[in-house]
Amino acid sequence: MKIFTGLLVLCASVGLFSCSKGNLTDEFNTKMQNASCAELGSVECRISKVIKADDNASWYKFGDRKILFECKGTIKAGVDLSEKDSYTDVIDEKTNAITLTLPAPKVLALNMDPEETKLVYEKVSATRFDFSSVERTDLLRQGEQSIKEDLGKTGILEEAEKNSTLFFTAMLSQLGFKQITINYKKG
Amino acid sequence: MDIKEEIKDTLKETIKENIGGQVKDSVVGTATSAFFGQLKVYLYIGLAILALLCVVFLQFKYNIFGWGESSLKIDKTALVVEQTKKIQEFTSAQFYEETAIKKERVDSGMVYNSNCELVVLVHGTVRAGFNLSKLGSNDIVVKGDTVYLKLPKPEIFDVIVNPSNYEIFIEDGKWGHEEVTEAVARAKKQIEEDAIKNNVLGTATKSGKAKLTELYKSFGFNTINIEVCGENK
Repeated sequence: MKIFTGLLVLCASVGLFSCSKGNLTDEFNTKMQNASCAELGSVECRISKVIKADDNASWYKFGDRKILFECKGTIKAGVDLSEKDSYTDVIDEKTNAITLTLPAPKVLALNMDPEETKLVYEKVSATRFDFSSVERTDLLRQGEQSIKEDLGKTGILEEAEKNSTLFFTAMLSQLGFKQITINYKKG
Repeated sequence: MDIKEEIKDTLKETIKENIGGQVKDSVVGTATSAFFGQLKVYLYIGLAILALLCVVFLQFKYNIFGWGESSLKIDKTALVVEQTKKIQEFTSAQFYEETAIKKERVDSGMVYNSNCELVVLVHGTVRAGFNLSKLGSNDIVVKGDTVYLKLPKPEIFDVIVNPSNYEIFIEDGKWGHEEVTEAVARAKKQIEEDAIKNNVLGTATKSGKAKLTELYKSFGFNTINIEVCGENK
């Protein structure tokens, strides 16, 4: 009888917890902010990366779990002129020469479109739990972090420097300067 | 004397029989209760083992205690650059928004229908400004110390919602990758619409004009006249 009562209480509590529902109010959508900036993006790279994880069997885990995503995204790099003293110029009016010193190029935006992140493969043994959305998101975050760490190897910053030099040279030439020198601060 | 002894013997036998029967009954009773007691213990042990097995199975199959979720690490893979292109995007405004998207579903089961709920918290960034590659040769004119600049219409360059920008707040029931992606994509669209409603393009125009004026003035020009395509004067 006691066991039966215990089971009944357990079932009732499970039922109560599973029935609890939360309401999301419209007032939540209030955290918005406009901000000004000044960034000149001079290069855009289209990138792709495979994100995979193996959760193999061990002494306390029976069976494997494997997951594989394919991600695509874009990276934009250039110079950030937002700060007041981010650039300096020295003008020689006699020779119509200008030396412009710009901040070191940097990655301005990494955009991993969620719709371009595809789950390619997922395998879970019968004795293991399925990948939860929290786990999948965590793996994608690790992938994003890995992309950020590997950006230096892509040569995007060198390309951004080259393109920014071309842009400012053309602009200053159009403004009438004859001798143009573009330098970059060290990052 | 004989009668006395006879009575004695009879009494002895009667007592012997009565006590013997009682002892016999008590021994049988004790044995029975001991047997049932032992059975009860076995039953409890059996139930405990069954419950333990159930918990172990539930843990392995559904991870009810949430063990090992954070320990999963990705393998090292290469980052592939598919295409590189030259751009001239002058980003002059950014819009930030944090929002929540809720999805609900009812899963019909054999015993009862369960309500499944997914709440995703998303914070995104919208980048807007001027695409300077659209500037024509006649769009920059210099007359003495005055610069006349005609900028193209401001536009939205990116709406950024990366995996680090969203969080699964509530996950009741089983939700697949596509369903989560659909929720995040919905939030992304909403953030873009809110950015337009909150005049991100107006902020981009104002901020862009101010920054370019500052830049051209630093090149030695006194008057900077900036006109934006489609803007009311």
